[in-house]
Amino acid sequence: MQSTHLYEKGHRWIAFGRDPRKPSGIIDTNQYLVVDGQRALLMDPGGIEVFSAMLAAVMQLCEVDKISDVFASHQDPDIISSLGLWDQTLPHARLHAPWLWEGFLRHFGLDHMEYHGIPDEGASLTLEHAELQFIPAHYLHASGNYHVYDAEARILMSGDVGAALEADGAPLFVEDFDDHTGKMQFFHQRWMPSNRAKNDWIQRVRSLDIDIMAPQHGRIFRGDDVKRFLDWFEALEVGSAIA
Amino acid sequence: MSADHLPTPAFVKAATLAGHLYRMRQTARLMSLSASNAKGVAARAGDKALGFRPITNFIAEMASETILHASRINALALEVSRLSVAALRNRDGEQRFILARESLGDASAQAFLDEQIAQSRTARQDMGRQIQEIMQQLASQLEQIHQALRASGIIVSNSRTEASRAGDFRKYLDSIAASVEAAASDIQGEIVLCRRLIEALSHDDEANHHEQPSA
Ligand SMILES: [Fe+2]
Ligand SMILES: [Fe+2]
Repeated sequence: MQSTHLYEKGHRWIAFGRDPRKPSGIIDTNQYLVVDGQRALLMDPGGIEVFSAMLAAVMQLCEVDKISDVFASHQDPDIISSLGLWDQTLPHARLHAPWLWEGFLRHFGLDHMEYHGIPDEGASLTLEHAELQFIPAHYLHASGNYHVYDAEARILMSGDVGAALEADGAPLFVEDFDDHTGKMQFFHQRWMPSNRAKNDWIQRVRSLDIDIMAPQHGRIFRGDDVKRFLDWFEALEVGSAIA
Repeated sequence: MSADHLPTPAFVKAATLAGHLYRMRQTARLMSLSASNAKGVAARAGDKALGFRPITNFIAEMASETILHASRINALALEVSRLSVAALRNRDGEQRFILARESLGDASAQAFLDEQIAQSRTARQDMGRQIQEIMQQLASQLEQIHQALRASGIIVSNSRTEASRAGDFRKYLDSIAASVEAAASDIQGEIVLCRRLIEALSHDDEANHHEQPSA
């Protein structure tokens, strides 16, 4: 599992992914970690199949006891089917996840961690100093869904929004936006159900200061590519399975 | 069970071990960098640092041995962590087969589940054997690092002696000796922690736990 620092001023943002030992046939995922002094937040830690590689990669950068909080943007298996194993690894941590999915997420095994249901309107979490906001992204694509925004680092962890379906080992950052849209189009049209939800999200996200938009699949957007993505997404009709 | 009294799972210990080895390798890389710096300084110092030159080779060798073995053990530790997770999932599956079996009256369904239980045990015993084998390799590689560093004390004190004869270059060579000393002591510290983890791991591998069917 590779790790890349996205931000290192006071607190740190680290992206994990592109695991060369990932079993074939499962969608590649990006996992994220914020380390702030003696506390850390692990975001969308991934599926059960990448758990071992992910745990080892995290422990190269941060002692496991520091991970005080875990975040799941929604209930999908590629997001959090590793929950039962993290629950044994981090029994003292708190799980921040949509209130809507609590009864569903517990099916992955949750005996020790405390479930903090995020209300529909969102919530915020302060680690030592870093303040992270859980921003509503309902119906993008799950009916209870959040992204994580860090105003100081100007990073938006955007879950499945901005995701791309790529060959294994693709670069971590978007280099040529126009070329990249070809890898995003089907994903957004088919997995995202609601144009209204999409446009509402775009309007809210446009008011945020964002240098980096970091999705859970595919490549990370930097600088002007963030605005390009919002424009592209705005023009895209989603919910394509209904003729 | 209260979270305060939970034992650390074997896969977490193995991943912790891999983390120490990763740091050990990074420190050894710094040591190797010190060796290249020392070579540069010794070359510039010419005759004043004649005695220092062979020492730089020792430092470089010590660093590269450490990097080599630490990389190998790091890979082994990751494999132990992966196998421990697999054994845990296997054991979890077995517990569920046992629960299902207990609630069944039908003999043919019980026979099917007995077969599942037996298969998962065989698979787990196999994992247990692999883990034990890897643990032995791990311990022996760690000893090789320990051996490679045994001479570090002598190397550092020789470096200081040679540095004291190097005139204007003394402060450079002294600082190189100090950084090698710090790196060696960091690595020694990591070795102690790794030995403890290996010891703890060899007592509780997930693969050798078996559920007892109550039937
Ligand atoms: Fe999803
Ligand atoms: Fe996803």
